[in-house]
Amino acid sequence: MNTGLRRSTVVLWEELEGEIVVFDPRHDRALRLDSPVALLWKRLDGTNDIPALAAGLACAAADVRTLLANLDQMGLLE
Amino acid sequence: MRGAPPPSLFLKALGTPVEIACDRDVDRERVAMVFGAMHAPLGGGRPLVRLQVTCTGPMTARPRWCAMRDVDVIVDASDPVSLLLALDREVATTAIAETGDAAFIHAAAACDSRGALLLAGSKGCGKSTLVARLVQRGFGYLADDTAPIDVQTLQVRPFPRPLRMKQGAEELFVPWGSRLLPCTRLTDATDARPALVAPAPEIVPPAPSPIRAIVFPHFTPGAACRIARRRPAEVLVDLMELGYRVAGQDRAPAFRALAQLVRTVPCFGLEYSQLDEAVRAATSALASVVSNP
Repeated sequence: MNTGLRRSTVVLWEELEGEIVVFDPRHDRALRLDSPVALLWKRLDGTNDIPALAAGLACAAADVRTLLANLDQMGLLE
Repeated sequence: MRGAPPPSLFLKALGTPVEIACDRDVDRERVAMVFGAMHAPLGGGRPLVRLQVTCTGPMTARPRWCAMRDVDVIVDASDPVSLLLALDREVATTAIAETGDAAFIHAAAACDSRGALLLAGSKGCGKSTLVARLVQRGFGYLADDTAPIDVQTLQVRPFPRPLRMKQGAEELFVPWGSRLLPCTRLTDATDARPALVAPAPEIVPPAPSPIRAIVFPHFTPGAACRIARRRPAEVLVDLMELGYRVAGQDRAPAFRALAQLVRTVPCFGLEYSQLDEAVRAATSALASVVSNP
């Protein structure tokens, strides 16, 4: 099931002029997410599935899956 | 026959009381010069840390300087330059470990009545040289290498460690005047150690200063002077990267505070090769910020 895609609750994040900076205290690492990942990040609140995310970002579901896989690989998703 | 050892020196390193005891007057004078801006009477308390400096074989061709913290040797050196560098490192490490309500960044800082300029960057970017020139031109000295940013107020606290200057850079500051005091002289051109320059105590402001602009200097030989605004997200990542890590210390408050800082304070990248052009660019940035808040 694709619903419930959610940011890790361990990670801190801040939005600065449209960009997102995440800080992962487990690895003591800060990362900058620029568009479109920043837009995706803001929607990862557990209420959107992949089709909804793709519609919100006006991109293909396959692209969203790729971005999610990258975030997941960095340990930034629940 | 040896007389009594000279009296100990007492410092306040960001509020942490440190005692440095030397067994010879000449070493005490050296230490007093380097840490002059941090001198503070002990008052009624006890020093948290006591550092003992001993010189062995002072009359021989091969004297050695040893500094100990309790039973741990922090340096055993063949010249006083290494001794002073190690003492400075030890004092800084202690202050950082004991100060939980500040984010420590690899940065220098100088201030005037308008507020503070934070010069952030890794080793060799030119921040010490730039802060030294600002100080020589009348700015107050807040910090070099280790800038403590209060996570509540976002102000930079005075932490007047000696400046660490690249060998050769000192020539740019002759005549020194009375605001900065060169403490160590390196005679070997291949010596990679920095030269220590002490701030005169009277140029250190007594209170923290609000940060008005953050500048990332970058010394590039031959480059034309260029200053440009930087994006806050990019700067936040850099500041976290330049932050000091203390084992067991949670950096989440630092992240929140630095995010707030870059949200409210303009940030600039400054490429330069000529020091005085860089000083003009940095002070113009500060002036533009203050006149257009």
